[in-house]
Amino acid sequence: MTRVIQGKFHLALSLCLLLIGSLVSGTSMANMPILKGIGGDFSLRSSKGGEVRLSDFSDKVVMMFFGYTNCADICPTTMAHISQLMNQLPSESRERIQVLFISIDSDYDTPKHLNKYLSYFDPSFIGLVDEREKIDEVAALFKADYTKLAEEKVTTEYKKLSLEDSKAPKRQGYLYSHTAKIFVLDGKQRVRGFFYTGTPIDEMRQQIESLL
Amino acid sequence: MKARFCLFVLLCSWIGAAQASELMVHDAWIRGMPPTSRVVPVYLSLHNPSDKPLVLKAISSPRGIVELHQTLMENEVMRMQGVEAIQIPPHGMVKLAPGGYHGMMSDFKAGVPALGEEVALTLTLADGEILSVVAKVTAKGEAHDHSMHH
Repeated sequence: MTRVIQGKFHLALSLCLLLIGSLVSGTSMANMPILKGIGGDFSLRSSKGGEVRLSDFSDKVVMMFFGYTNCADICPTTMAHISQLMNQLPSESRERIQVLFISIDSDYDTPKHLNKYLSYFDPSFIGLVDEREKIDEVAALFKADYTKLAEEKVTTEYKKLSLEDSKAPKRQGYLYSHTAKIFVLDGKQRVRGFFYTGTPIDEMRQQIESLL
Repeated sequence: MKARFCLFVLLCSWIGAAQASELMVHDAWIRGMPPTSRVVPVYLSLHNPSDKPLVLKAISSPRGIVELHQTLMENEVMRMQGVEAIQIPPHGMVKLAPGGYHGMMSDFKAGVPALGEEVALTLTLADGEILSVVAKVTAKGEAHDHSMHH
């Protein structure tokens, strides 16, 4: 009797496991879970003109990066990396993806300037910028801490150089620290994970396609 | 073996590697950026085949001011930091590549270097040696994209 029960139990257990297994492989949950306590709707000025809300991109997978146009290395590298990914996707997929570049440099970047900058990488990319307070609110929603490094934090060697050459143009605007994350949001604006500049294109492609 | 070495030397001269007495510079490139940019990155590989350490002190160009920088990542937050010099250990290779050391060109003299242009660079080493290199402005640098890996 006990054996029969045990046998039945094993059968039920295997069926359960099989069911769970197929559910997991059938969805992207294993790879890109819905992250709690991060994200939310917001509205900012768009590089394409006017204001946009994150929720305007409902049903699209959004890849979002916090950066600034006077960033020489990582921001253009990241934009080039994402544009490389976009170029590998069929147009049906591309239409269901939106790349957003949120500028943390509201002192320098304007919607117009962002448009010129981003069009260079991919005309479909949208840049968002606004008053500092509004950017700060969005950064807080996404826990995307950034800091504008004060002039005095510039390295000593750097200061010495400026002192030696009083005619040297005042350098500013590129000294920000910001998160390395590319936020990946699903069609309901829920944060599903992060990519980085070094995330292999194939891996990004698989993850994005699992959300489409 | 000898033939291989000859081929290597031939290949080096063919790809236009600059070689002074010691330091070899390969794959110098500048990322093509919008004409409205105020900064563009300069990347290259430094190979020190000698037995003594070499130190890159500065990069200069008639096209703008170049500063040596490093992208640093701490707790997934990155920032750029000016560096005074870049050490190239004996028999070592140091890459100025996306996500790490790079030259930041700004204050452009004749506009932002455009795609396809060749930009002259002068590298100054701590021992006073000077090397001339040409950096090509490329679209996205996919082929050279030695990005960070996590």
